[in-house]
Amino acid sequence: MKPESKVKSKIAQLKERSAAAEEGGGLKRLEKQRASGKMTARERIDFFLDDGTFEEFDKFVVHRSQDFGLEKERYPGDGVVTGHGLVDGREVFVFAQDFTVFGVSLSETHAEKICKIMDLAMKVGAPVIGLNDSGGARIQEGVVSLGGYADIFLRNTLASGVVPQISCILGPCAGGAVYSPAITDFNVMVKDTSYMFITGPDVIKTVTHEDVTKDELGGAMTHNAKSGVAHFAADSDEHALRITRELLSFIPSNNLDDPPFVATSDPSDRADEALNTIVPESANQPYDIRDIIHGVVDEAYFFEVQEHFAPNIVIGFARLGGRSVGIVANQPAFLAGVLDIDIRTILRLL
Amino acid sequence: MASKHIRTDINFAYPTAEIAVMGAEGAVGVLFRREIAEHDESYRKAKVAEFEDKFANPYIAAERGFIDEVIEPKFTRPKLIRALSLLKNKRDTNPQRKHGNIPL
Repeated sequence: MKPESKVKSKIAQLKERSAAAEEGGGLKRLEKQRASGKMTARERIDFFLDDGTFEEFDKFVVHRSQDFGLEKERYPGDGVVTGHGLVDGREVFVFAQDFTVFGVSLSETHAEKICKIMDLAMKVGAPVIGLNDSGGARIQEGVVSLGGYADIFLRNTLASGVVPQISCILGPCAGGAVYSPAITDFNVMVKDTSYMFITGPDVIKTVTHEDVTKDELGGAMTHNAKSGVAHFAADSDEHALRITRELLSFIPSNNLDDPPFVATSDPSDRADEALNTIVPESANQPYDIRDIIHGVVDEAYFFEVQEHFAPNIVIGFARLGGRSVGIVANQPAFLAGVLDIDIRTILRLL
Repeated sequence: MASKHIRTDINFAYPTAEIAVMGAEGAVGVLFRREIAEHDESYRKAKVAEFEDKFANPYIAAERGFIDEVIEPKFTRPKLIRALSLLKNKRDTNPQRKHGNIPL
């Protein structure tokens, strides 16, 4: 063989391996995922990041399990796509779980891939975005899989307050798969397709004899309105990813940086006549605090967080003179704005 | 809980400990769902017994070093006191941060 054709065949081999890795658990399963109204892991990353900026790590990683016939079933990438890319020109790390591989159960190597980008994110000071869609631990791997979870949890706690951690829940996430998202800074869920629970309705029925639907137990609205675990309820995968991009525009990339400055055409000396009349003369008369917020902030734009939770307090982000600000406001339109236990939600924002 | 992975310093286990994702019954129900449907109850029972024998113990975790030592229960007290005495001058560091983990 001539030297150049040898190189050619090696390059061809790389392309083949790469293409095989991009198929995840196979084209048939990818089609099934699309048919259920969801994007595939790679489509999610492409949609989320600025066009063509994704740099992938660990594409050829496979699991090391030798039990239960798993040794005969190996998929390059092992059910999670990891790497980094840009959002509005800023570096972020991202991982997307691929439901087509073993129902995306988490293995030792799957966890190692996630830990690798979390470690690097803390070193370079960039946010970590998790696109979660996981059935839980890979039972076949037993304690090794659980150890993988614990490795991620440790990093979640270490990274907290150092770099932002945002989770998008884009499918049914059960068991070990929900602890980590629950301790990240922000959670975005999709209505009707995403769930977070320790164990599903079947086991609840067996253990406590209660009938509960998947939605009541851990649907997007349960966690947005009742538990307060989630901060945004999106209508689709695309919507969830757009919310996450926008959220990033209000927060710094790490504990030493400032949030991005966004120039505004709204004059800083603008006086709003309407503000003089929004607060009623009688203290017993309710009004919507959002009317005041809109009158004050740049271009009347308020990015509300936890809109459905504890409606007696309103929290979110906006900009004043181009600088990002966090807003915490009493809401007289609900419960006369009194503070109750659910205002723990504001502690998160602070 | 309190695993090596989240920085627990010393991990002991009793020989009776079962360290696994879930109990044998549950795990076998998931892993062999198809086979169980095709066979009779004795097949399922055999699989549960096999799973228990292989995984319902502390040794898989000990092989990985997740457990430092599998101990005889009667030595629990001296083992704990010795470990605490070893750790009394422990030093560890965390990254500089703005806030701790979020309140739940």
